Amino acid sequence: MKWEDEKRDAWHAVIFLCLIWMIILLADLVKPDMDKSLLENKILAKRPVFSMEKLVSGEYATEYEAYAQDQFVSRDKWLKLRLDIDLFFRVHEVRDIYMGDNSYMFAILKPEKYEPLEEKGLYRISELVQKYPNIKLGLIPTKECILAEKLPFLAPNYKQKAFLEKAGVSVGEKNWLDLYSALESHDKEKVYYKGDSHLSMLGCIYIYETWMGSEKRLQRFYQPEDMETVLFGFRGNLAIPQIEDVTDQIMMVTKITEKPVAVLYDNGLVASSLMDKRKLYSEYPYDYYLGGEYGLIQVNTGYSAQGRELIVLKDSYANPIIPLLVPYYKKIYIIDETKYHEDQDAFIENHMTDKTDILVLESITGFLEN
Amino acid sequence: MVMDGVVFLFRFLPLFILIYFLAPVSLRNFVLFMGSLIFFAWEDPMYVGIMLVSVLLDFVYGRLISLSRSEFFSKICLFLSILTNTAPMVIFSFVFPIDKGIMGFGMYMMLSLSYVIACYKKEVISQKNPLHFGAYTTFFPVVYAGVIPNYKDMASQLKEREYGILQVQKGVSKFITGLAKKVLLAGTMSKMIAEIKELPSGYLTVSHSWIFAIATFFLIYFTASGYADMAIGLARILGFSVPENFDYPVLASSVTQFWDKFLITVVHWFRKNVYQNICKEKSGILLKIIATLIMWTFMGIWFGRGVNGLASGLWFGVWIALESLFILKVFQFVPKVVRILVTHVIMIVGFVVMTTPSLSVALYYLKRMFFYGNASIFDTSVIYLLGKYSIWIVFTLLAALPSFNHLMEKMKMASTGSGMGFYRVVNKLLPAALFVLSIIYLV
Repeated sequence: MKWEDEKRDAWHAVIFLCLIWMIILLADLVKPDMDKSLLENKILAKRPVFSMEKLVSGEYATEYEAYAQDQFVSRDKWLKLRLDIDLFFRVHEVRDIYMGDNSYMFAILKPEKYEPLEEKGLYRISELVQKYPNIKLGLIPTKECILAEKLPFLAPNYKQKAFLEKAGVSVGEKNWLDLYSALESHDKEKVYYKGDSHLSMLGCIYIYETWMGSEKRLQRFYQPEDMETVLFGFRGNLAIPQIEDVTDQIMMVTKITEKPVAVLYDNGLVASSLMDKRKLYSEYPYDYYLGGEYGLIQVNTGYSAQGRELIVLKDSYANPIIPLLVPYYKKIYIIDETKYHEDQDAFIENHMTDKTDILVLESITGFLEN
Repeated sequence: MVMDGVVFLFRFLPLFILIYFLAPVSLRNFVLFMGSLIFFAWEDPMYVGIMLVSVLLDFVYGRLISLSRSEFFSKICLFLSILTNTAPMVIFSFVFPIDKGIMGFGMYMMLSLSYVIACYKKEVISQKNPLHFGAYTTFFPVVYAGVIPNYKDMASQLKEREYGILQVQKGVSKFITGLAKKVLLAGTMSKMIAEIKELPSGYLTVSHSWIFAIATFFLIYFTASGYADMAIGLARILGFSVPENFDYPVLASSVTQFWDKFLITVVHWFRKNVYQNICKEKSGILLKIIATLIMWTFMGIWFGRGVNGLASGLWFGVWIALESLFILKVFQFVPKVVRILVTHVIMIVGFVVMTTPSLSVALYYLKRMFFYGNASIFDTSVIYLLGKYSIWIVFTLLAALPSFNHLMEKMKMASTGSGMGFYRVVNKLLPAALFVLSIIYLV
């Protein structure tokens, strides 16, 4: 290679690189600070306040480095590029989310997190059955179990089915609701949201039918055409719109909203419906069902239902199912164990009559985490 | 200041280079010295305090040694210099342990001490200009990266050095290569290590622990060699020629050979200033072994943390001693692949000990690696883990081998045609591409 050519090439290479460097540098200096990274769902560091003490202790340096890193120009665009490269190389993992087939998003449920909790879970189940002999236990398998075939190849995933089988055996048929079969037999239908961890309304209907069917009290049947969409474009808790805009529809069964109910929330609020339409336009529209998360909700349904009452121990997975139960009960007490800070056993004892059903309706992961 | 952080790359470095090249040649050593002090003071002003005192003392010792005619007085100066230099290192290694990593506390002390020793041995003329001396001992990329250029080689460059576009281009591309090694390869390795560290004991298979150990090996290798490339590149941009610190150590077929290719300047420093002061070429085998063990004890303390550093130093020392005794002779009859494999198992074990926070943690992984206990050998999550990082694992292995560089050399030699064209395009575009890729993974 000629010396002049080599020299010219060197100039080109250096100028080209310096140009890119300078453009990024200048852009980084002039761009305004951001509050939040949407892609990472993270609050970004703010410019640290300067003080001589902080400078001397090195604290200012640490804070400033975090600030410069967090507020780097077009941060989310760089991150997006990184994710695109990952996806190109078939890495289907973003943050704590697996990107599955057909745009289904899944939570990463690590076996090492849940398996050690199983023993405690089984103990709690047997404790509940001993305390309340007529209790029904319905543990809802999450989508990572029912739709496991849509997960990335060999992705580590907690085996919920094995736990359900163990639990089912230990509880016995009388107290056990086999929700795995209920959902698995419909796994080709849209029983879960694509971009949210919860069950869709359709999935909830199958759970409702399983329970009421097992009680031999199923009177109202719902078909898909009985549902109407109350919100299009629902971006769920697993959706990352910057990567792939996965949206779902929030639906409700129309027939059940026949008459107003009296709802009393534990914060003193009252309502005449179990659905809160304002929440459809909130940050998390799933809160439409039951108005979100409360420790205790008491419902007077207005139905006589031969004076039957229901106590439900539930997590957010059960929220859309409760409205379907309204015609079957005079009163419903809904307890969310993670949010209810009073003595739960005392509450149940105080409200237990010979006409009270008691139902556990929680996701397996929620149940184990409790 | 971390050399692969936004503050360094987009605040400090551009400003520093601008001032350096705008300054008249006579002031550049001053700019370099000030730049180094700011670089180190940024995170820990205390550190710079200790640094300045020891630099000043060594400058004085150097002058005194060369001015004095008394051997005894020179010896006292040398002794004091060794004391003032090693005391902080021992204190911060054992008494108040700090997380020092590769860019250890001891780096500038080694530069400074090697100068005093060279003065004592009359190998060099003592530096008369404290600014030049300061610029040498605190030279920030070099000190940060753990590269130790010989004072003898640097003395003339401190006085006068050449600047030119070819130098700059080579420096830039070396710097970017180093950045990419650190951010892309070492970065991936540390992600894998973090994932495996999270596994509870019951889920850590034998395969996981081997991946952990091998990733640890490459993490150290590409962190150290990445920073070294950045340092050598930056030094070249600034007009200095600094020696290489790595020479494809994965091809080494004995522990002795490995350490001839890994952290070359550091090992050379210890060999010259520790080993060769204890024994000579003609010394008996026993003395040589003792010298080897002492040298590697120091190396371990310098390189690792506390007891783990010490243990890994001894581990390497013992193997090197055994190799000099008989292993190398036996190795003559063993195929090269086997030798390379055995060497790397030894290295990997040593690196696990060196980098883990305590001996019990090191033993936890080592036991698992060598089937102690009844952990399962493998599960499918291993495949998923390897699959997830597969592309970077491939790049890591490629970067550890000289093939790409050989290819580029061949292309450069081709006087005409497509080979030449390819070389010129890659040469122009690769640094920019690697730079952008590094930023993507750095943010």
